[in-house]
Amino acid sequence: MSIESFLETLTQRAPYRDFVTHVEERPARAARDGRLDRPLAPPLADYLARRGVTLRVHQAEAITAIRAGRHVLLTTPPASGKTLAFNLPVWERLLADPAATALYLYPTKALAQDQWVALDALARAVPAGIAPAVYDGDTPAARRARIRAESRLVLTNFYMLHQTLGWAHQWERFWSHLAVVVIDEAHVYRGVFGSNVALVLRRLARLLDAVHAAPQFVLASATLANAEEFAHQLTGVHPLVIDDAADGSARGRQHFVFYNPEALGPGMASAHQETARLLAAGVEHGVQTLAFAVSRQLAELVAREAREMGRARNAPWADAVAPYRAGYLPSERRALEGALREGRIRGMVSTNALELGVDIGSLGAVILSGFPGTMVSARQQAGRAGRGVDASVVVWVPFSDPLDQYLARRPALFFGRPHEHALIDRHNPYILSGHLLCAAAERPLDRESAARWFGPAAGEALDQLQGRGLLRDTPRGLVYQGRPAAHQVVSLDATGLQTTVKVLREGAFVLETMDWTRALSEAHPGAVLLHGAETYVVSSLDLTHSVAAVTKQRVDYWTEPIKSVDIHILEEHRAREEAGLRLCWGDVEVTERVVGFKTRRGDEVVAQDALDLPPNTYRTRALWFTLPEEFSRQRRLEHANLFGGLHGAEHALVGLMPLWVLCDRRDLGALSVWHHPDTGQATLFVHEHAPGGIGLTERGFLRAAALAAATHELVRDCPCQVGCPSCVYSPTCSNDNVPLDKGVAIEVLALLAKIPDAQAASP
Amino acid sequence: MPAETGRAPHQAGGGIFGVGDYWADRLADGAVEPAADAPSVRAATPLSADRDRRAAELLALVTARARGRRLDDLYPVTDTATPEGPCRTIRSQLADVPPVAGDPKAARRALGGALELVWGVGPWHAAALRMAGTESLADLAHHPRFGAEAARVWSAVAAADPAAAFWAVRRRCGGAHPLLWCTRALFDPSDFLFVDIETLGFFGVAVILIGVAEWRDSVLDVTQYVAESVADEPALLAALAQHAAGKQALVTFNGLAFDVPVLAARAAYYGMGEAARPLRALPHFDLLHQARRAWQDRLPDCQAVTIERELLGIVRPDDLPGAYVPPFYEAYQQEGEVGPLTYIIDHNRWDLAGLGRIFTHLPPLALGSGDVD
Repeated sequence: MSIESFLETLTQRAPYRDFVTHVEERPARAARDGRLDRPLAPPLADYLARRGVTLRVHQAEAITAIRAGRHVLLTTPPASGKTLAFNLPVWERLLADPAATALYLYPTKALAQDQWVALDALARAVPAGIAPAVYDGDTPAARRARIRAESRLVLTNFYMLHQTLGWAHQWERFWSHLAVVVIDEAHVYRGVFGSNVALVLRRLARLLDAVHAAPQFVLASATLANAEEFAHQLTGVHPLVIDDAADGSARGRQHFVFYNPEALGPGMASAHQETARLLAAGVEHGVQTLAFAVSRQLAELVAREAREMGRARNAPWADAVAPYRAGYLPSERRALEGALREGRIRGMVSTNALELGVDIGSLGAVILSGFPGTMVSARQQAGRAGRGVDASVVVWVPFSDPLDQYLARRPALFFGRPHEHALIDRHNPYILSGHLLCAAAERPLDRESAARWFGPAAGEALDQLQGRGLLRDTPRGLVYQGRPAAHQVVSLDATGLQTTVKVLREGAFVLETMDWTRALSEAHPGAVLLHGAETYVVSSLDLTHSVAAVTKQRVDYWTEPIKSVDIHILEEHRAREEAGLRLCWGDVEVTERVVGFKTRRGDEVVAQDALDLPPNTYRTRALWFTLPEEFSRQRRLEHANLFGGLHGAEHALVGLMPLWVLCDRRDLGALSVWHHPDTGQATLFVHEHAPGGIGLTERGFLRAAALAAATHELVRDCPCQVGCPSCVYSPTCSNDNVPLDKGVAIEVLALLAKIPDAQAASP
Repeated sequence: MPAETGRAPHQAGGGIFGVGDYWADRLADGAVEPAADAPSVRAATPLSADRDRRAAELLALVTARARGRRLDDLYPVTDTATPEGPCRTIRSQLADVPPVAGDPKAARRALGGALELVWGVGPWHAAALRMAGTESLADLAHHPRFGAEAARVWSAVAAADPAAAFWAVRRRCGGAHPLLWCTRALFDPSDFLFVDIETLGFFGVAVILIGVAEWRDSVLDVTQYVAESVADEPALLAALAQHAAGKQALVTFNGLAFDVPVLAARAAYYGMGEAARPLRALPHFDLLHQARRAWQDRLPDCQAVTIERELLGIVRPDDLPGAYVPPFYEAYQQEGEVGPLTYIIDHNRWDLAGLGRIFTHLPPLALGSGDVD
């Protein structure tokens, strides 16, 4: 069998076997059938019988709970039939009540389109006057009125919902009969975006309450450590969780291989090269293989290399290897998906664009090139292998990066119970206040209902908005009296810093828009801007009119901003102390300044220029700690590099933080200083980039010891001598990783690990 | 045990984040982020520094002109009683916008010959019927298949039931059809209510003034319902509903796409959906569509101001585009000086006069081939 021979090649033959550090085998499992409390409505039962579908345990459980009117959260693995499990009871409901409506929410337009196909097929097979329809930015104006008037099942996304809530009178029929809200891929709604989405849902709930509708929530999500709490934060309801324990789907045997290019020593092999080699080997063995790359460029690069390896061997499959990523035309993407499904493409390299939902059939092998940042993504990507009961192989190729290498050495953590917490902060003052403006523009808002739907922090925000004349108190409640329309200014993706900067090409054509902060670091004069695989050079940045001018120019160099960061402590909210080390969490003011930029050709810095740009100042949340006096004094006496140690500890800590908190490394910033004016001591700060913070550092503060212990172990066990990208180096360090002291970093981390945590230590 | 100090997050420090200033700045910037759902590339708006400068000068001028005065000092203001409380009302008259009597006979002739007004009769059918000698709805009334429907439409036209005739055409041909414009001649000039609103923007923002006008003999009576703050908006909407109750038809410029949907949305916002109902129930002549049909070849654009200037020879003194209404109203709210509001009131009155003039100036049957889709 080809899968078996591919696995054998990986584990038995040189050079592959030398890189294999772990193989986890997951045995095959037979399906467990479920039983319903009562049979499905006859047309639905017929529909399943015709298609030869048998309901499994978790599906039966979900159907029973949804029938009973419970809110439900499904977190069973990819390909376990979650969609069917909620579509059936939703259909039953819509069959039983001919006025009832359902709202399906997806993270992307593409996914809504994809799911519409399935729902439309169900609507044809089991007709009930439901007329499922996608209603999003692409829906032609001519069709919209009809969908609002007639459709009983609308698929959309949160951007559209955000824009649509102000038109509730046009949706009166739909809203007042809304029976079910389905939120698919719910784990996506975390961080800044998730906090915004949670507040859009509160706005929806408030409008529904006014028309006496209180829908049932059905969520589907990847596995999370805090799935139930997260769903509650997101929707405001307490769902019944149906998780892996109830999963009754059949699955085939799967081998999960850790293939670590660092196994022969740091820097001995390239992860991209190895990925291409593995892809070629899989395809060579006749196994249809999908590799996930962490960026668009890498997807293209790896596909090209694999193809060239094939051509060098005159392999017939060389041209059956293709890249796939966002940015391709929809028609190109459909064609590629079809070719993969039908087996005409034998090897594909994709970005995470293929991670969610899109139907591409089952694959023999999946390669993860680098850790995709979260276990949630890693599981989703691995879930693309071995749909059905066929055997499959997953190969993970970790990068030389602290998080990758930490996990590569801890398979037990990798395959153990989920440890990632998805965070939502509905009380972030900036996010909350934006949605209060929207809510007041959708329906006059009284303070009592504001507290009910938006929480206790709403009162103070309303005072401030009223104080600035954006809201006016009227006998009917607070009324929005600003302009333009509130929902046009409130963005779901960002807490949004000030103005949007337009990037103008040749003085007129808008190439793209970016927020002010990004413009300072990426569109300063002299910067090289990448857009659609072309290079543009910025000739001027006019901050008064928020316009950056660029010219298209082919250059063989790239630029990198040099930033300086200052942190001023505004207020300390919480603190813990142990043996002289003091750990705090509170509000800070961060001042970031782009002071210059480096021009690089390859790895070499060919020029360094100064810039005079205004600082970007914002208020957010941070955790910080100061070292014990005695420790600092001792190290100084020994002429140890105290600052280099703090600096190294900072890099490693931030690198591992996503293990505990579902976030991107870029959501956090850090600063270490040997003498901070507010503390008077050597201090290490980790701050959030989102103004107002979204709970990342709060959780970091609560779990500091566990985080420090893990980081300590990582740096201590790293085989390098003086530090490397797998431990204390940071790819984004403005100081080019100077100075660093691995030894002192280990000592600093050991000290921090002694602060007992507020919660039991895991992972 | 480690010492733990502190208090619950979010109870503290909300104020230091300064969300009032934050949003005030963002809104003032007009920093409209492209919605993620919208096309990612938008045309750059040409900066109009010159216009902004003129607007600022005008704002200073109108503010100074009326400094310290009250609305009542400058206009004959009365209060109209509504279920939502009193509504500040300014009445005035325009003597130089007389009505032009329509020609109902000609209109009946045109409508009576439009066989296509009957469901099922398309261009092909109509041509065939005409060839066979059926030239009017009256003739068609005897047709075995189309007779009943033809009789119904013809009786609406012939029996001088203008609303019924309007709806017969509206349902069959849509809101921009030249035959629809024909039905206006069946109404009496005093049946029409001209409507023009002023708002703080496009959608999702407050209506601050509703102006209406109607002919009494040869004079155009203007009534303006003015909000002294956003809190007066429900009273404005109620006053309009009362006013519209006695009328037979609405006349607007772009009201199908803007004024009426905005009024409906605002009424729904306050949970007073019934206030918008009469607006939707009345026949509605949107002059923008008729003007486009009649004049778009002759004019650079079909804005009301352009039509007034190019075709009617009227140049407004001191007038800026409606886009400057929101900042003027905001200035009035912030400084409490009534000057900027008077500017908005006068601007609205000009709009109403223009509406009346364009209405009388439009040719009886605005070209068009009479095709039915």
